[in-house]
Amino acid sequence: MKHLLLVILLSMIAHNSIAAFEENHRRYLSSSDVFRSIQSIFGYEGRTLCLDYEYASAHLSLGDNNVATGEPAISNPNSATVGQVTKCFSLLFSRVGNTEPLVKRDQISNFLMGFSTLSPKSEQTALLNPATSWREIPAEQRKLIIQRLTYRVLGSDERIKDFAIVQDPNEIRDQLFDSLETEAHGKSNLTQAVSVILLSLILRDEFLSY
Amino acid sequence: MKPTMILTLLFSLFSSLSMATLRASPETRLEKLSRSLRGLPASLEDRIQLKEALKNGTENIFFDEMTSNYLRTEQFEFKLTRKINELYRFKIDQRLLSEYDDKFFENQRSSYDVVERFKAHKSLIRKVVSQNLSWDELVLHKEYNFMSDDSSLSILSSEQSFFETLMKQNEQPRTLEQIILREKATYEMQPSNVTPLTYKFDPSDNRIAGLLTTPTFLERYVNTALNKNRKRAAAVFRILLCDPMVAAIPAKTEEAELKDLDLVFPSNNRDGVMTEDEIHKNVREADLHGSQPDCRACHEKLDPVGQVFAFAAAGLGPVASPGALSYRSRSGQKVMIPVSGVGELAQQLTKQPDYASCQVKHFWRWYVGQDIPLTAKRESELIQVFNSTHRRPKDFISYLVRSPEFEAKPRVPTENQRLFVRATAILKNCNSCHTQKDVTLMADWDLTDVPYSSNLKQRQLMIESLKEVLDTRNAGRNKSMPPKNSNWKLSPEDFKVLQRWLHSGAPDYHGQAQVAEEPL
Repeated sequence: MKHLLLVILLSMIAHNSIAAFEENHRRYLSSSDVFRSIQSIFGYEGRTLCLDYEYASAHLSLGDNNVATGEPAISNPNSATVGQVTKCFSLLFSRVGNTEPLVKRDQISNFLMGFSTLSPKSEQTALLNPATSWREIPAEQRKLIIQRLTYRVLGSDERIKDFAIVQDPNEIRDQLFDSLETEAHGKSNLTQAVSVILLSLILRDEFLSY
Repeated sequence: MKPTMILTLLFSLFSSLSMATLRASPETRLEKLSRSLRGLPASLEDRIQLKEALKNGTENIFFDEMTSNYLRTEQFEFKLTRKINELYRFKIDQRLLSEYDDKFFENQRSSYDVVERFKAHKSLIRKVVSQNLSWDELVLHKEYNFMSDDSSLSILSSEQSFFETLMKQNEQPRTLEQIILREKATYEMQPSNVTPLTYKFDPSDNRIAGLLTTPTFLERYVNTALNKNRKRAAAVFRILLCDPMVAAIPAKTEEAELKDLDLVFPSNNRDGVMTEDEIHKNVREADLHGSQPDCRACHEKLDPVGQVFAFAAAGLGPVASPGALSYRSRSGQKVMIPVSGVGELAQQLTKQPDYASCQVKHFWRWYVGQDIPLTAKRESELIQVFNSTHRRPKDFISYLVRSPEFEAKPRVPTENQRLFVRATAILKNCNSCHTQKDVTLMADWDLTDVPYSSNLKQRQLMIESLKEVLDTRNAGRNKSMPPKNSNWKLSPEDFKVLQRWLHSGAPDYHGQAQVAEEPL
């Protein structure tokens, strides 16, 4: 079931992230930058935890240069790119609350709700249990969570607009909200829903390029 | 008010308006600055500070401070050192990378040093970057510092013995008194588990030239009896003068065209199994070597530069080997400077205007992006800045990231612009032959320099010639380029891109067709 969900998820979001390296005028992050940038979402800018596995193949899939030719090993982000980003994200997400450099156990709820250490304390009073059903959270609060997570990963609306991939940043948030309304996510809890939201956002060009 | 003044005012207004439209929002600029310098998104703290600065009208001060802060980070050093390694095509050791990351991000500079300094080339690159030394020091530096770790002899032994041999050579009396005097060197060893080693050579030691005389460079561009250091020479031209050269030998006959006569890089042949005997036989049969001006065009450059590495078969020899810097500059001037060794070669290279231009292009590609054209006028301005900042990388990068080009919005390209980017990426492969000066059999023509001419007739002729050599009207059935013996082959997909681009009027960076469209 988990695998099916992943496939559905990837097919749903893949079209947003695929853009040829050589065709567009954006620059993509290098492989180690991708990994470290993903970590920064978890509040950690330190050592590259994702390098612990499969780095040799990962860096080529993520567009690093071929040593022999000096050119990018692949000219386009492809399914392998999506696969590597997803693997790194999944690895880190599974360590939330357990691995010290990432989000601490007592900070999980703040993290899932999109709060940061810099968010006003007054906003962080009504923290939700990570196992709370996504659907049971009031729609307005769900939208706020999506909004905060979008800001954390992609930055401000002005930045999203500059990329001009979407005309209105609300499109991204609405799409995420709607995708979690589908039957596939009927039983998702807060943790699972946030995992889907974050992965969808990090696979977007606004995150992977600059 | 005079009409000219009104026009000037209108023009200025229009220019400032269009610049404002093209300029990215402050949030985007902060993000771009952080990602390109540190490889990380801007932190929440930085974003909050930006908001404050915008509120207080201190945006410019904020960006100046952030640029300085980011340039001081170790992440910046890490990224730039990787770029230099990529430029030299040095393999980034996976083990070192992960260890580096482990230690580096714990802010233990000493541990970072240990990992980075196992190899002389890495320590030199890092020194230039972290101490913001002149960019020229990459090839001029005469001091190598690296670590020796008794527990990992496999990595260190070759590195250490390479320099040890050089030192011993200095201690031995030699017949050439002049050279003994010029090659004094000292080194220090500090006993401990991890031993920092310093190998310091005399500034006038002509055997030494920064990265060019490190074991990694000499191993990466391996020498054989046949290529006679031309591979090393080709790397020097590519890295320092942005002159790409391919090794294919133009064939005289159609029969010979089918043979892959790669004399400089025999291992690069199609099947990779061409023996030296076969090469010699082919050379004798076809009487190619030296008889064709096109061969000489490259060999006149490669051979004299390769000669300075003649003392460096496996390690460096006791006596510097003389050679010459010989090439035709971009301005068309013939340059021929005899040098007494690789050290002097590096010195002469860094004095060349083409060197400064080439290095500026590297930085432009890294920090502004190669998709944004660098005009001749802008290049000339940047060279001035590069020189006025004493070629210090951080100072020059600092200038680049404050340039209007860096601050521009990410562009959403039109179909024609995409076509231009894809076509020029493919045509870049043609330049390794077609930008060689003195090659009589082919045009000296940068095929990526679109639009090709300000003269419409000339443009039409050039684009027509491309259509003909690629035989785009007949789906490439009788195409004559790239030549059959070329190492680079045009894939069917790439052919279609070029065909579509040419028949769409060969649009330029702005998506403007250079000539009239010709539907297929």
